[in-house]
Amino acid sequence: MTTLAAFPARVTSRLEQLVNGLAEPSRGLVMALVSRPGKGLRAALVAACAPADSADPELVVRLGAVVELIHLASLLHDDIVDRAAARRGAPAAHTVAGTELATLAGLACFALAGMEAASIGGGVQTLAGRACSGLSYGQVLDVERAFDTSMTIEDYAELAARKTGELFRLSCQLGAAAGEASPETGRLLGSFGISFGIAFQIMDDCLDLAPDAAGKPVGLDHLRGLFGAPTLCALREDASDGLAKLLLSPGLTIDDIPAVRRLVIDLRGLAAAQELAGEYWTRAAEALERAGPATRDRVLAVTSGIRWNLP
Amino acid sequence: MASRDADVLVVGAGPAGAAAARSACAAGLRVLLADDTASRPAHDVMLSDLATARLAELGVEPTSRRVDSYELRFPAHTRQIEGAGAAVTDAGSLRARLIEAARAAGAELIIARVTRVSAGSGGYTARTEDGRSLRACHAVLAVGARADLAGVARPGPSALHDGIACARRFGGIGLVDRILLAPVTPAADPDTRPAMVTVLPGTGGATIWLARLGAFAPDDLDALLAGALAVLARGDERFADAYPLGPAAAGRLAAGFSPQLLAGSRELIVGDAAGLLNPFTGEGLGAALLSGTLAAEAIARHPGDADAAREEYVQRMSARYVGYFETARHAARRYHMAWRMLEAASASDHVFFTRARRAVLLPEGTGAATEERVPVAPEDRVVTGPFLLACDDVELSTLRVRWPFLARLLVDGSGFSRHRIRPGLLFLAGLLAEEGTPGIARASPAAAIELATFGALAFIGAEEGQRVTARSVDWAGATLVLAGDFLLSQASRLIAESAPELSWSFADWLAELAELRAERLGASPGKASALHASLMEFPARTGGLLGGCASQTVETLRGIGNALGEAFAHAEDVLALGGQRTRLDATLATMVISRTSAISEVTSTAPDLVYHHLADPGFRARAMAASRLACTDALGRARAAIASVPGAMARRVLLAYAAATQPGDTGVA
Repeated sequence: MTTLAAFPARVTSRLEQLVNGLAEPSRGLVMALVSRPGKGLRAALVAACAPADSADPELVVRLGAVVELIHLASLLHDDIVDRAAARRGAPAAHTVAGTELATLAGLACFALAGMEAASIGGGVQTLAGRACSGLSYGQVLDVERAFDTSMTIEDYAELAARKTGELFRLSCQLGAAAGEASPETGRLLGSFGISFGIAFQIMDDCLDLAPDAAGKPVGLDHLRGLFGAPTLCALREDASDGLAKLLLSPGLTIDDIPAVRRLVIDLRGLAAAQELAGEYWTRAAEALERAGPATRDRVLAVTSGIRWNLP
Repeated sequence: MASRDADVLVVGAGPAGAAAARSACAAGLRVLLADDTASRPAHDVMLSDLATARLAELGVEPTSRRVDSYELRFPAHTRQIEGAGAAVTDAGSLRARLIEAARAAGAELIIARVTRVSAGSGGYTARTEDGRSLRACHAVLAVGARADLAGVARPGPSALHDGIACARRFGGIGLVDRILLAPVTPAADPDTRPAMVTVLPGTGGATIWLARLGAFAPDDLDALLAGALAVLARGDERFADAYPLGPAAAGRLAAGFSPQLLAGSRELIVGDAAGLLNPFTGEGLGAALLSGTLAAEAIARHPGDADAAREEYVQRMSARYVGYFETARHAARRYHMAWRMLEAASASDHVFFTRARRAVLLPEGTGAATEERVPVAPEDRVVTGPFLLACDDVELSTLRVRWPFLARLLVDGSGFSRHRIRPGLLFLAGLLAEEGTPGIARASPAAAIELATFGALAFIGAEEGQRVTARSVDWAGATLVLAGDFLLSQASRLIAESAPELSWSFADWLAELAELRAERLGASPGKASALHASLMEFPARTGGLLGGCASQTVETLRGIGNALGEAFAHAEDVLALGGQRTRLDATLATMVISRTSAISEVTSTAPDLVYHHLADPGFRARAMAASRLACTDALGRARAAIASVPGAMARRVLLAYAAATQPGDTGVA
């Protein structure tokens, strides 16, 4: 267990090593994110899915760095798209360096992930390429839905699968491929990653409505016209159109968010979304169960650290 | 086999049907062309240069009024689009001339309304209202948006990709000397439909068009056109005294084209019936003519075999035309995003948006009939043509389902764009550098490099995000990032799947592009031409690598690519300084301000001072001379290196590429 405990630090150190190879100003912009790590959930999934007996620990660290680099690249670009002011407790890169240099830092980070994947070889670049292509499509789906109150839950699930699930799937697949896991185990873990990603995204949307969400501004997505799973579920039950009218009103401000939350809860949106997340979690857990008890326990140890209230 | 009246039955004698009939006759087929030839309210239509060229091929030269530019009037910004002309002509007389051309070529015109088309083992039978029955081996449906044709399986109108296009001639409009496009874009609510008002300056008054997706009630026509006029009259007194000259014409705006739609029908569906109208403007004459001609060519290729002809037609159409609604799910949201981007970026001259405006709003798309081409020798086109076509195919199939809008930006379907300055051609020259034979399979990495190039260009020169309120989205800035990421990651996937041995150098190249561009923006700026050098060096080099060339040849290709890229950068400046359209559609001011111009390095001026100095004619003349010299010098280096490439065809292709890079005579700076 000492190796698993030391794992996040080893991934960070590998990231530092790789990012140090970038030229300024990209190096500084990316390093600022590396030095304030997030939850490291994606890299932790790589480690948890890597067969304990056959995976080369050094390789697992490198694979963890690949998924984190892809994640960092997407964060840098997401913040430009969202015009977000802060990231990981510091000003977002584009507010520091300007839009174009922050865009280029994201590109440099994406390129770094590609080089690291290609030098690892063994099909890592193909898996990574497919995941990135799905992820970038997810970002398109995420933005274009703005102000769409009639988005179906099916369309939402596809968005969550691409935007969040793809990278989780990649993490699980790469972990499995780091050792002698069977192709079937790799497939099961990949399918776990997608379902888990959708459940994770739905719960993240629920948190956006929670009155006590720490460290994250509440309800901002609603102001920007991005309606998450609870709100979309509530909108389906919104016979009087009251919620839709409120959400589309040009004068909606942060002060209206409590009213939005009230309506969403009254229309059973929050409960329905949690139920939906539960369904995807069940699907994920089923795939995980079939991947074997040892892997299952390691993955559950990672996911249990997430603050959510799944049934 | 039962006796037949003809080889081909064409139902509907609008532009698509008449073009099909005329082309089929020219191929020696016997053709029946059936139409009720009912008269329609007089109005004008727009003929792009491509449409005019297609008409000329059909032997039709309509009387038209030539207009040399467009005015694009967004609520927040009005801009002129120069050098993209079109002609305006009377719809009725164009129709009559096309029918006449078909008859002159041998088509038999049946004046009757067809009520039913049925297919049997021996071919197709059409029933007319007056009780006649017409038989033929092949059937082409050019019935516009008619939905009352029995026996034909076609999906009905959908609020998603169908709407209304209506037109009416007006008098009393002050002089309009360009085609005016005035988008009416709604607020955030995606349920409100955007619309496009178009003014065509004809010979007998101006025609005002309104095109909009979504359901409509036919008796709303007057109200719709009055609304369109009100939009135009806002702040523009030329429209204050307009009065209608006749009744309004209306038709269904059908924009639901997809290859599946064509493949799902027994007949060959052409023109508006195939959903070929532009969902932003309602324009579709060029596509109608193209589809009619392609249908006739497909039949001529497989006479007597209706299934094979249809397959051929579907394949040809999907290579030339991308529908906006091919992806059923999300399509409406993607369509709205395109509208929002067009509006938000209306004042931006970023090359991505300039291209997007042309691709979406102008009838000839991104290309133009007059676009400079790489003069590859006819005997070499046997090799280059299919390879570049395969590149286009890979790019189209990569983009069309998930983001059709981007596909239309890259491949305009005119067929004129294949032999132009493009990375794929350099890649091909690399493959051929040691007399190798390029497999079509190698088109995938070439296509990936082209997608990545365009993705990188989306990132370059990104402006600071527009000030947005908490309630809005920066659609312009968001589109650049999303499109760039989408293209680059599709490209990475394609490379990993089709040429995994290139994965590392591909990623390394992206890192280099990011670094070169960031350096250019820095306090001690690097060269602007270095970026273009890298953009062209990579395809030439990797083509050589995949072609199995010796390292010395790869090194030579690398030098050639670099020199051609530098020459390209200076040629952009020469064209922009001369007031001409650049290959990347960039304006001089934008190039200078975004530091993509290389004028600073050829005049030894700090990049930030160039814009100021350009006000001085002496500086402009010096910049022009120096840019020309730098371009010629780089091309000289390229040509010298090309001489040592072993493959004869590669040398010819590269020399043609160099020749195309050299800007022609440009006006005085």
